[in-house]
Amino acid sequence: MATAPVTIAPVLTPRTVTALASALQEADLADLASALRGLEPFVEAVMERFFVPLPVSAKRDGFKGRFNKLARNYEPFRLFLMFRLVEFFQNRDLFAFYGRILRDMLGPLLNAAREMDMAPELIAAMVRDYLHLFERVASEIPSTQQKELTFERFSLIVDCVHRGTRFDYGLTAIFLVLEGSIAEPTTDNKVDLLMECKKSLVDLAGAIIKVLDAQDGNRILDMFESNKLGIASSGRRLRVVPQIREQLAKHLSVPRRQTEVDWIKSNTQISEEYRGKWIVVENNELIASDRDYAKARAIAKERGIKRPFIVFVPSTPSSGFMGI
Amino acid sequence: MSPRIDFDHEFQYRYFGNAFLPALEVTLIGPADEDDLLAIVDTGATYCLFNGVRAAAIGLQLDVGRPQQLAGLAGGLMARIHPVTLEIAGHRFECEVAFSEQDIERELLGRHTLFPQVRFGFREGMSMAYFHPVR
Repeated sequence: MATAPVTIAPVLTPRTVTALASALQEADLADLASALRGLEPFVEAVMERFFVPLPVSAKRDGFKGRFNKLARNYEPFRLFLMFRLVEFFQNRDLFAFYGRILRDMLGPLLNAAREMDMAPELIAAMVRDYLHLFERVASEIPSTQQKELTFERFSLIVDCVHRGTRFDYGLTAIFLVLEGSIAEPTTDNKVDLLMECKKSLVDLAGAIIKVLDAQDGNRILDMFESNKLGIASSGRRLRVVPQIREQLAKHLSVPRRQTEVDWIKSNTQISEEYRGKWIVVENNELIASDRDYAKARAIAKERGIKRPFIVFVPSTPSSGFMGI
Repeated sequence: MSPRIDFDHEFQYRYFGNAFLPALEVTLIGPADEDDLLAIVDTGATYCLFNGVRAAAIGLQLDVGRPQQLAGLAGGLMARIHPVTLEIAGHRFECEVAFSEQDIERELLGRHTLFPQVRFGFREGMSMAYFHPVR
C-alpha cells in the first residue's frame, strides 16, 4: 500500500529534540540535525511557558481547568514548531524516523513511570496507539489528497488539529514529568493528566476517522489498547485496570455528529439564547440560527455544507418529555 | 437460561433541551437532499415523525403525502406520510414516515416500518441506548 510522508513530530521536549538531532547526526543528516538544534531554545521556552505551570496546584478542579487553558494556548506555538519541521524536512518521512526514536526512548521513561506510580502500561499503550493511528493516516493520505478541499472538509481538518494539540499537550506533559523536567503532580492530578490524555487520543482518533471518512472507524477504535485500560486509585497508589465496558460505551460507536452534539451540550447558553430557533452546527461552529428553518438551512448550503446538521431548540425547555 | 440479545451499536443519551433523552443521530434522505438531525427514540409512537418544514428541503411535496391524524397526550396533529430513507449509525432503512403539517419541537423515531428493521435497547440507569439493524 502506498504511504505518504508525515512531517509531524509529537512530544517535542528538550530531551526528545536533542535525541532526534543526535539520531539525524548519526544518520549523516548533519544539516537537519543542526537546523533542529536551532529550535532547542524555542522548545525550552515553550516548556517554561506552557508546561512548568501545569502541576502547581493541588486542587483537582484547578488542574483540569489549567490543563484545558494551557493546551489551548500551546496550539500556535506547536503549529509554529510543526511548520518549521515541514520546512526542514520537506518531503521526508519524519514521523516514521521519529517514531523509532520515541519507541527507543520509551523504555527508560516507563521505568520512571513505574517509580513514580504513573501507569506505565497506559502510557506505553497510548504511544503505540498514536503511532498506529498515524501509520494509518500515512497510508490514507494519497487517496485523501485527491478529495476536494471544501469548507466542510477543511473544518474537519481544523478540528483534527485542535484535538491533536490537546493530545500532544497531554503526552508532552507526561514525558516532561517522567524526564523530571516539570514537577511531579499529586496522585489525583496524575489520574487527571493520564485520563485527559487518553480521552484526547480517542477524540483525535474520532476526528481523524471523520477526515479519512474511514468505514472501519469502530474497528480502529476497538483496536486501541489504551481504550481498554483505565486507572483506579487507592490512597496514593495508582493501578491500571481493564476499562469496564460501560465507561467505554460512548467510544465504541462514534456517531458522525458527535462533535456537534458535544458542542451543543457544552454551550449551555444555546437552550436559552436560541430558544424557538433552528440552529445549524458544523464541527464546533454555529453556522446559522433562524426561526425559519429554510433560511437557516439556506445559510448552511451557501457555506458549502452538503448535509447540514439542523436541529430545533425547543421553545419550552422541559425535563419531562411525554411524546408530541 | 435467560435470553441474550446482542447489539452492534451503543449510544449515550443526548442532551436535548435541558434533559438527557434517548435521541439518535439520523440522516433523513429524500429524493433531492438530506438533513442530519437528532430524533428521540419513542417506543410508544406509531410513526417516525419529522417537522414538515424539512419535506421540501429534501425534495418532497408535503401535501402530496397520505394524510394521517396523529394523537398524542398533548393533543393531535395532522401529518403526511412519505417514503424516505433513514440512515442510522451507517445503516440505511427504507421507511414510511410522517411529516407534521404544523411546527413541532421534537422529532421522533416510532415503530411503523422502522422497528421491524431494527432492535433498540435501553439502560436508563446508565443513560445508554443500544441499536442493532435486523437484516
